[in-house]
Amino acid sequence: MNGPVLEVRDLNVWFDGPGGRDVHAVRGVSFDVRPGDRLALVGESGCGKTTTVLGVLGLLGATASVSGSVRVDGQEVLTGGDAAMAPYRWGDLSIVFQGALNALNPVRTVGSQIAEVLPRDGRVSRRAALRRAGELLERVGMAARNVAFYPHELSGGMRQRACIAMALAGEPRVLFADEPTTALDVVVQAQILELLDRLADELGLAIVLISHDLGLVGQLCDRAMVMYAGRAVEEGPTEGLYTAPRHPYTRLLYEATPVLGADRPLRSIGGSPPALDVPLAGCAFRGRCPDAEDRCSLAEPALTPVAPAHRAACHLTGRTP
Amino acid sequence: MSQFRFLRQPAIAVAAGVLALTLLVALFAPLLATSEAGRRVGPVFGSPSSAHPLGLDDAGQDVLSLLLRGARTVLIVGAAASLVAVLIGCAVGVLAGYAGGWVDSVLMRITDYFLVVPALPFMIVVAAIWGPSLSHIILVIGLLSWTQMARLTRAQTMSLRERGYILRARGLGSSHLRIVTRHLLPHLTPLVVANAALTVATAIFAEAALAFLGLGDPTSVSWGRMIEHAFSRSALSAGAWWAFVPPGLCIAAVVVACSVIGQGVAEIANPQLQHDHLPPRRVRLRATAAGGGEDDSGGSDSGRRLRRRTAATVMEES
Amino acid sequence: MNRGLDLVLRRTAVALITIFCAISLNFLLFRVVPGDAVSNLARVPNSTVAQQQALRHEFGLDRSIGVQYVAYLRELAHGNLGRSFANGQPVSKNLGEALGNTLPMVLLGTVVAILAGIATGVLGAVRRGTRTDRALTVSSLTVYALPAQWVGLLLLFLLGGVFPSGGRVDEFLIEPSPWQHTVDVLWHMTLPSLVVGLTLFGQYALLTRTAMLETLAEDYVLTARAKGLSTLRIVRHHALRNAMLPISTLIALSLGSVVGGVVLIETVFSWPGIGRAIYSAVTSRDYPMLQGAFLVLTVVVVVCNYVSDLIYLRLDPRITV
Repeated sequence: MNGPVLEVRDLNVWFDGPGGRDVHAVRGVSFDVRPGDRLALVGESGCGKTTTVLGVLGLLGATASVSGSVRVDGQEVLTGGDAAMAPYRWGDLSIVFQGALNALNPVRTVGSQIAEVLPRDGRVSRRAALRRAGELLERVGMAARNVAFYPHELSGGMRQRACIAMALAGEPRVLFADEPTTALDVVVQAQILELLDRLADELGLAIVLISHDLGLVGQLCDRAMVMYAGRAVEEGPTEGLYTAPRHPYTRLLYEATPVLGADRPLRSIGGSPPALDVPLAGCAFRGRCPDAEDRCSLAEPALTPVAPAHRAACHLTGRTP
Repeated sequence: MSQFRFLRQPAIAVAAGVLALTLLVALFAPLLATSEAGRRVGPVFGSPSSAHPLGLDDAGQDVLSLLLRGARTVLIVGAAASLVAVLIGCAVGVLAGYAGGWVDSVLMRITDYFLVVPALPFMIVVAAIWGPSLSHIILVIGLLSWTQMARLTRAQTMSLRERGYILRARGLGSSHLRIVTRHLLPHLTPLVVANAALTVATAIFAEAALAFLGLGDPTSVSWGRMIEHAFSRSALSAGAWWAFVPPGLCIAAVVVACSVIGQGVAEIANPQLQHDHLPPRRVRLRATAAGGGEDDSGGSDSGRRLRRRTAATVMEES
Repeated sequence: MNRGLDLVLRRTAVALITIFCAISLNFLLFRVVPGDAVSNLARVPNSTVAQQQALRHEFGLDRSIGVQYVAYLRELAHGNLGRSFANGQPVSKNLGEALGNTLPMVLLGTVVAILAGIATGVLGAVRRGTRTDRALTVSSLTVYALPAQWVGLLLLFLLGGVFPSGGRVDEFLIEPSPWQHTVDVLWHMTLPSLVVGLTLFGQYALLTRTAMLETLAEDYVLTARAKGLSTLRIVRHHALRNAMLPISTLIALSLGSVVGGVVLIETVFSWPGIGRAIYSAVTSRDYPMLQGAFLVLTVVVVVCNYVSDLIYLRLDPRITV
C-alpha cells in the first residue's frame, strides 16, 4: 500500500465566539500521512496544532464548526460526522494526549482502560483482555502487573507509557501524539521519544507528533509543518527546516529553541500572535516579523514550493537565506 | 455552579423583574390591598368572585389582600435574615481564611458542626424556646444559614491572600483591617452577592416552614402563615384551594428568582462549565469560502453554516 | 498507604466530636435562658402542680449548671432522655417508635429522588443547551422551589380521595394479616414518600447536572471519546463514575434539609414519625420530647454523613483504606 492513509485538505475550524465573532482557529490546513510517515505539527501554543488534530479525528465539541475534507483510505470522514469516523477511530487512528495525568480516568485501573478498547473478536473474556493489556504494557516497557494500578499510583512517565500502550490497543496505523513529553523531566522525555521511535519502526506506525519544541521534532520526525495563527506557514523535511528555514517564523522559532551544545544566543520572539476573531488582512506574522514590508499587510502569502518537498508561505521567501 | 447558563440573560432579567415586582408590592401593599388587615368581608372560605378574585380565607378575609400584605413580611424576613447570615458568614470566612492557623481550624470545626446539624429542627427548638416574633425568626434563620457563605469566602480569601497586590500591601505596612476592607472585600463582592441571593431563598423557605409549624409571628401576615391557616383550619375539607395555592406559588416564584440570580452570578466564576467533551449532536459543516482567510465577521452567518444531524447518540435511544 | 486509615480515624473523631457538641448544645439550649424556661413552664397546658414539680426536677434548675450537665450526661449514657409530658412515656421509647415509622417512609422517597434526580441531571448535562435540558432544568428548579408543606397539601387536595388523607394505618382494619398490614402501611406511605421524593428530586437533579458538566470537561472524557466508545459508555463508565464523588458528598450534606422536610411532611400527613413528634412537642410544649427528638435527629444526620464519608473513601481509589 503506497497511497496515503490520511488525506487532509483545506481544513478550517471555527469556534463560536461571543456576539457572533467566531474564532477562526484553523485556516485551510492540508497534509497527507502515508504508512510509516513521521510528521510533526510545530508551533507556539494557541497556533491551532491541537485543534487541527481534534478536527481531523472528529473530536471537536459542539461550539466548533468545520469545513474541508478529511479522508481515511480515500473515504471521506469529516462531512459524515461521528458515524463516518467511527470505524476508523482508535482502530486506524489513535492518539496519545498531553498531560498523562488527566488523560487517564482517575477512578479506573489502567488495565480496564486499555482492555475496553481491545478489538473484541467473538467473546474475549475479561481475563484474556486484561492479559492482552498486560502484554501491551510490557511492549511499552512496563510490568504487566501494572494493569491493576490506578493512574495516581504511577509516575508521570509511566502514565505516559500507559497512554501509549492504550493507544496501541486498537492496532492503529497512524498514531497522533499531542505534546507527549510535556511536564516530564528530560531523561523521561528522551525515554518516551525513544519508545515512540522504536514502536514506529517495529509496528510500521505512522506518527504525527504535535509539539512546540523543534529539538524534539528533529529527533523523531522527518517531515514537519510549522503552524502560525491557524495556518501552515512552512512545510518540509525537518533537516531542511533546520538548515534552511524559509519562513521568518520558523527561523525565529528555531532560534528560540535551546539546543544542547549549540553555540548561539537564545532569542525569544517578541509580541504575541494575532487575535483570530477578526478577519486577518495580509500575513498573520507581519506584526512580529523582523523583515516585514508594506506588501505583507496587503495580501496573505500562499504556500509555494521553495525547494524539493519544501514549501513556505512568505512574500520574502526569495530573499530569506 | 452554573445551572442556568443557557437561560442567562433572559432568565436573570425575568428573575430580577419578579423580585422588583415583589418589592413594589411589599412597599405599596397598604395602597394595593382592597381590604384592611383582619377585616372580615364575606363568608368563611368564600369562593373566588369578581370582588375577591382569589376568594376568602378561613376568617372571611380577602386572600388577594393578604397575599399583597404577606409580600412585605416575606421580603423583610428574607433580606434581614440573609443580611445576618452574610455578616456572620463573611466575618467567619474572611477571618479564618486571612488568619489561618489555629483560628482557621477552630472556626472551620464550628462551621462543620453547623453544616451537618439539621437546620430546621434547630430553628424550631430555638424559636420554640424564644417564643414567636418576627425578630426572633430573623435571628434564628440568620444564625443558622451562614455556613455556606463562610466556606466560600474562606476559600476565596485564602487564594486572594497569596496574590501579589495583597502581599505587596502587606509589605508596605498596611494594617490588616485596611487590607481586608480595601483589598479583600471588593474582590469577594460577586461571590457574596451570589450567595446572599441563595440565602434569601433559604430564609424564605425557613420562614414558611416555621410559620407552618405555628412558630411564625402571630401579629403579621405572611405567605407561610396563610398556608398554615389553610391547613390547620381545614381549607382542604372545605375544598378551598384558593386559600393555600396562591401563597405557595408566590413563595416558589420568589425562591426561583433568587436561585436564578444567585446561580447566574456564581456561574461567571466557573469556566469549567463552559465546554464538554461529548460528541456534539450534529457536526457543523461550513461551505468553504474562497481560501478561508476571510471569515464572516458578524452579520448573518447562519445561512452559510450547514447543519447536519448525525446519527442519534445512544442516550437518545434509551 | 495509611493516609486512608488516617482519614478514617480523623472522620470518626470529627463525627464523635460533632455528636458531643450536639449533646452539649442540646443541654445548653434548654437551660441557657432559664427565665424563659421557667416562665414557659406555666404555659404547659393542663399541667398539674405535681407535673410542674417533676419538670423542675427534670431540669434541676436549683442546682449549679455543672452539676446539671454531669447529671444530664449520666442519664443520657443510660439512654434516659426523660419522660414525655404528653403521654408520660419515656421519651426514648416514644422516639424509638417514631423513628421506626419515619425511616421507611423517608428512605423510600429519598431513594426514588436520588435515582430520578441523578438520571435527570445526567440527561440534562449530556443534552446541555437543548430543549430537553431546558425543560428538565426549569422543572427541577420549580419543584425545588415549592415548599414541601404546600406540595403535601396540594397532593392531598388533588389525590385525597384516592389515597388515605393521613396516618400510617387504617384504624378500622380489624386484626389485619401481616400482608394486609404491610400493604396498608405502603398505601398510607405513598403520598408522604412522594412529597419527600419530589422536594428532593429537584435539588438532586440540579446538583447532578452541575457535577456532570464539570466532569464532562475533563481530559479523560476526551480520551474516552477518541477511543471510539459509545456515548452511553462514556457517560456511565467515565463521566458519571467520577461525578459520583461530588454528588455523594452533596447528597450527604443535603440530609439536614431532608430532616427539615420530614417535620413538615409528617405534619401534613399526620405520619406518626419523628418529625410529627417535633411538631406535637412544639404545640404542646413537651420540652423533653422536643429536646430528645432534636438530639436523635442530629445524631442520625451526623451518622449518615459519617457513613457517606466512608463510602466516599471507598469510591475514590486515590485514597487507599
